[in-house]
Amino acid sequence: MSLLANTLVECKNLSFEYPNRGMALRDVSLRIEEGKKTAILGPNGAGKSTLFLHFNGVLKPRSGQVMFDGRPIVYRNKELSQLRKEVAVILQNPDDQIFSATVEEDVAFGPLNLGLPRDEVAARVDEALSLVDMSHIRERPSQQLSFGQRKRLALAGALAMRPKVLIMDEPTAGLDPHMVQEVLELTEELHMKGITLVMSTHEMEVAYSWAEDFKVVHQGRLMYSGPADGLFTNRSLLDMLGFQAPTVYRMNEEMCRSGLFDREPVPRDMTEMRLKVCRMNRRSVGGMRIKEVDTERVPTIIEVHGLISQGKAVGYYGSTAKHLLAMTLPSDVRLPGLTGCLDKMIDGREAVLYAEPKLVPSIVHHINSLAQRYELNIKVN
Amino acid sequence: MFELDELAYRSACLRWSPMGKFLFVLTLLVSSLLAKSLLIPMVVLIVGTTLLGYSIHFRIPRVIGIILLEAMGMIVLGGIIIAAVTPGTTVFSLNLVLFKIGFSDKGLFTASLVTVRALAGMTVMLFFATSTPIPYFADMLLRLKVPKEFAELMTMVYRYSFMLFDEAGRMYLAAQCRLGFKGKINTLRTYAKMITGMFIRSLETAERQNVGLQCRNYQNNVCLFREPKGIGYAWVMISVVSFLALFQLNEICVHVGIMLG
Repeated sequence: MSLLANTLVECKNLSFEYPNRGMALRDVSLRIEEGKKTAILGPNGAGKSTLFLHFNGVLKPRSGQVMFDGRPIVYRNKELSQLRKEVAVILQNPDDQIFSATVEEDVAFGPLNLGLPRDEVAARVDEALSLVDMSHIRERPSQQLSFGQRKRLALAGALAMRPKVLIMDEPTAGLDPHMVQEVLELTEELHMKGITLVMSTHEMEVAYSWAEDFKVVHQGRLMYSGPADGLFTNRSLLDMLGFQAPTVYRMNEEMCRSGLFDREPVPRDMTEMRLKVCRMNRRSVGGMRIKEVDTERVPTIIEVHGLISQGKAVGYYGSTAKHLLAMTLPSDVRLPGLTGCLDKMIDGREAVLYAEPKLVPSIVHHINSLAQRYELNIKVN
Repeated sequence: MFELDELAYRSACLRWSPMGKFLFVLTLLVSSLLAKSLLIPMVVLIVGTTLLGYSIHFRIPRVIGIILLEAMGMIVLGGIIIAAVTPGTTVFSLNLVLFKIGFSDKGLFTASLVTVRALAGMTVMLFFATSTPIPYFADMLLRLKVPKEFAELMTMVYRYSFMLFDEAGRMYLAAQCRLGFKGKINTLRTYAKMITGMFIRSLETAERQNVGLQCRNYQNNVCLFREPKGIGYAWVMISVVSFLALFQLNEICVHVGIMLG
């Protein structure tokens, strides 16, 4: 019963067929747990996008059932409208989603369709644009945006609906590494704010470092559901899918086999791998000081430069901190995010991280859990 | 089209009421067309040029320059033809070896009137086009109680034309990379394939867009977040006063006999 209570989206024996194109989904049963980050993996044409369009009721199953929040989806306009408010889907190609002529008009499109009052729409537009860092180009025509900006605009359009579940169809496809990092950091922030996230991707490294739960779809069937470790130890499944375990995972396996490491804990990204090496070498890691920022506590340029000149690594976490820091710092100064700060701390430096107050507990929890996992003493205050 | 759209979003008159602008532009056009004196279209031309200049920040972009030059060329050519074919007392004639073209006083006046009216009309319409994006225009139509479906269709065509043009651009580049435009017959064949491809892809695009719109809770109603201003008394007053002033000026000109045919 408790498991059911935590399940937001559930498919039971879901099958779907496109006219003249054969079965797209065959007997798929899965659960998306509330508050979790779920990655859906699978090769092209596996049925991931089709599955997503069932989650928000755009497609109706041929057989089986889709449930949201414990109740079966009702395919009537009123109920579907309510469902799409709760379950926002971001399509792979942002052009398929962007409708309006300017950035802010497009972000407002969804909330206006919900019939919300103008003030509420304005507040949501401001919030969503600030989250994706597009407030400064809010009046720009949407056809003048770069691909990366259009991706962020599509994300803002979905966030303006304030959904419970955000489903992203290959959100990092076609983006440069910096932009990928920004999207991932933004999703982390959304996760910390309580949004349930689902992402489809081909990028195993991204999925591995990001997700807590993995689902693998192949030829319309659900082939795997569970944690990463179970997937990567299943060689025959990986071979069948043509996937490779992530580099960090394989590196850890090799080092374990060579007797350099214990297998556990299995690092999820290169930063965690470095923390594991620190543990092995009994090397100390620098501490982190978290400074709260909001509109009344905006760091000055003198303060930031003072910290940098003291040899401290200065970074930010979250869109609010990024926005406020961008207001004071010259545009050529690019500060690292949380992962960047952790890397500097592994180098032995002290770090100062700016973040909005409501994200601080999550950051502290994250650092403490890393410290505990790798049995390191990392000071956070 | 795209440059004109971008201009509209950068226009100094973007926030002016679209319906107010439309009424004022219509007033100027009607006044110019009804006038018997050349002075009225000239006044409209000056007002139109000033408004157009203000709208585009007094910088003539390439697209406006091309439109103006093309239209002016055609209007002047039309004027010459009118001047040549209108009967009346010949003022002067051109001897072109094989034949002689005579220009009458009445012909010259009619040609001038038509030319100035056309130029005036063009400037005021360009002022409207360069300061009113299509979604604002669609919103204006809705306020004028034009059927919702028409305004919706207009907004959709506007939005998706950009995507189809992008698609056409990509197809053109792809064809170019594969020597699709080598030789005249080959070029024709490539264009034919492009047109067929565009048709098929437009259907695919429509399907994808439909999914996108459903995902965003589209309720068959295009609303604007930043709604343009509605028509105020000021716009009505300006339009009425302008019409009456131009009408009166025309009457005076006719009475006194200034610039009449």
